[in-house]
Amino acid sequence: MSKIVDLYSLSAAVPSGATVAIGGFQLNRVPVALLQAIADRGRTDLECVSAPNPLGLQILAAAGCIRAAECGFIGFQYEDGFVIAPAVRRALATGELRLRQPDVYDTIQSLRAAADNGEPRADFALLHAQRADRNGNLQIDDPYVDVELAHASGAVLATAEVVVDEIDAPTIPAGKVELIAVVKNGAAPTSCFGHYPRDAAGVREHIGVTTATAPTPTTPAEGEAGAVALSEASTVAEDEASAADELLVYMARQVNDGEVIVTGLASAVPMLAIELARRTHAPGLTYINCIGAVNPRIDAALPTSVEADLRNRCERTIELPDLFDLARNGGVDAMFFGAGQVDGRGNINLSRIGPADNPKVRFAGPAGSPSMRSYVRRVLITVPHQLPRNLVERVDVVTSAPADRNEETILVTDAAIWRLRSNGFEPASLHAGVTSEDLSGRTGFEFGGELPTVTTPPSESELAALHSIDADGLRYRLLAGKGSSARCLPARAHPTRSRKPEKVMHER
Amino acid sequence: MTKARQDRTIDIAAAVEQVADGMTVGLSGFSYQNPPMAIVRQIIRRGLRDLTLVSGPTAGIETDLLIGAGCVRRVVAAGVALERIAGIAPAFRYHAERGDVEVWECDECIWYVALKAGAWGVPYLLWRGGVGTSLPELNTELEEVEENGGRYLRVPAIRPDIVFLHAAEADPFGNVRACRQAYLGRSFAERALAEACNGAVICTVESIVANERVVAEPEWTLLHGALVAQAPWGAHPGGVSGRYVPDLEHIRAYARAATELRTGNDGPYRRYLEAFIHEATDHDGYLRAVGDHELRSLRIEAA
Repeated sequence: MSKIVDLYSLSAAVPSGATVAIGGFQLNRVPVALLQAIADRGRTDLECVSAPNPLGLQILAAAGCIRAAECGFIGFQYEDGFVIAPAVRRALATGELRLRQPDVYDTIQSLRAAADNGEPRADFALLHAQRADRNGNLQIDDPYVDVELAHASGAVLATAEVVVDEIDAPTIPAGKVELIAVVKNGAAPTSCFGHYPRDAAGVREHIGVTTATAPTPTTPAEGEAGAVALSEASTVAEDEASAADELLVYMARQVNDGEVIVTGLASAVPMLAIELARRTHAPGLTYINCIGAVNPRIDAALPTSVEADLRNRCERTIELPDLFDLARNGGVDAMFFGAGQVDGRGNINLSRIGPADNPKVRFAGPAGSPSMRSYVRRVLITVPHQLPRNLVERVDVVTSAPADRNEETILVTDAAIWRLRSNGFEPASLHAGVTSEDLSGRTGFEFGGELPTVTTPPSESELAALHSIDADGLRYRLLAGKGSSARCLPARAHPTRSRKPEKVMHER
Repeated sequence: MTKARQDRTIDIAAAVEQVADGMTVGLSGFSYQNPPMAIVRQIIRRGLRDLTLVSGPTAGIETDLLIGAGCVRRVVAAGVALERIAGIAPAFRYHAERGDVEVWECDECIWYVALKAGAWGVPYLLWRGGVGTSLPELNTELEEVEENGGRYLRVPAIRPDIVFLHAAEADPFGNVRACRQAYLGRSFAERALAEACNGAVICTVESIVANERVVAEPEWTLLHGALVAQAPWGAHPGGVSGRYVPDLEHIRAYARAATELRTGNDGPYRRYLEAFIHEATDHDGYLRAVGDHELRSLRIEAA
């Protein structure tokens, strides 16, 4: 009997109350058409498990289909900046949805254990594949965590871009696959590697944004803080622009030549800093982007770091579970971490501010930062806009903490470069123009230490390299919202920036 | 301020300088395919002793030759064989029967599981295969245990101190590539060995290629971050998938010499070592000893 059915029949296989594992990773190869078909059927009380997959949850939450979910990260960075899936946020606020946010590696390990013990974690894995064959084999060119999700599920229900006669080396063998529907563009508006890129307009539709604008003010992500409209060119105040340039240069300087460095989710700014380091003092670094690209070619700044096409222009591809394994075994030297809050003892909060049942601010979640931080030698934390409310005495929730393997923990802000000592964070250097009083006023914890030096300002060559990677000034929009209202830049120096800055950060 | 990217190339002698007596050495290959023979011969020239070899999962001439030359104390492999030429590799058989080398008995899956435990940094992994067999008697490090109501073999982690691989090509920055016409699929145990390795991963290659070639087809990259030594014909008398076939004549000659060991006649084996390893003082010398004509006849025409 053929396993190939139409989308309507495929979606019928998922009853209300089922547990589903959702394939894809951030805005990449999410089985959008299948999820939409399930939502259209009015299914309820679904439980979900997935890798960071905010749009998949968004579709089900918007239609009131889900009761519970396990997902380490509910935000994404795209052309309009950083967003937390609004329907997920609402369902959490109303209590309709119970969300567990374990470390992503914990989710992966539990999937592996489920596959190993033959005790499925989900009834169905819902996947979108590049190819299926008539026997039911699936070929997936950018598997992320899909293989683990499939093997930890009772059966796979899949959509595929195309059907071919025979797949030679299936990613997921037919024995695991129950039904397949051929749905061209079935992952849109998320990307389908090798077929189509992410479609920002389609993403906007799913999150209820009609035009390219700044999304609802949101909160920092795994890799950075950032919630600004990137598609809108904006005028950038001169001091804001130079602060962004300085921050990127100071971040880049923390990257050592020859080391292996990783970025997680929503890390467009750290990715830019790493590329800057590569083009200046660290040509021998190995950069692993969690999309699965080793040493991707970064010709220009990108609105998000989790970009499937980087797998097409890199030196090696490595799937997310293998990247965690590599880190666990000491194969990763450093990683850039973002923080909703960071405290004087080095703890990071990427969960929420306020009580669990009624948080004042909800962050996107820890993603893989708890485990990755415990595995790396060098922890690089970035807080682009230092304020007493993000450098706090004590974080509300500890999502990652200093660990035995960490030899060095550096916090880069727009005010100072901090180093974690036995007594807590101490300023190693203050950026030019920042006084000790300024620093105290912008820091929510007590700190001691030697008198800090002045951070060496960016050199001409560092700035030139930065401009060459990001000629269009995307970094200013990625880092906008500092809250200054300074003069506009002379058009001569930055001809591409022409409109008002977006001010959407820090509405907590 | 702009610097050039450091390359990660090394020569064969410098690569083998990193090995010391008693180390645990991982060797790539599967039977006749992709053994790092240029490295093996240099290890023998250096007279290293008491090595533990982690080769395979099914090991071949690279392991047999190191055993025959007296470099090995222990072998971690699911089998050491020369396929149809010698179902049990002759030097391995001779020395294992005499008790000169210790055999860490396992099957291919357990071999992988032990490396996986090493790669994950855990002391052991539980494995269902082998429960109820005599494996725990043959290999006391494999203990049968009960956990959560199930019976398992507890497989201890193996972490090689150094790993040597041979592959078709790599770029100067340590990205190791399989060849398109790969035999038995795309790769052998390169990744399992490299990921479990506690020290340097060194890959000899048929050719060093431009980084652009790697970036054009990243899906063919097996590993990043290896040290790379150029060694054309570096797997001979083994083959390299997509490049050249195994030299069965040479392997037969070797096997004849090694089989004599069991009759008490070590003359042919010593002569083999003299001719192809000690007198040929380096890899180029070895290739001259084998002969250009013989090598060329093994080449696989590009598809």
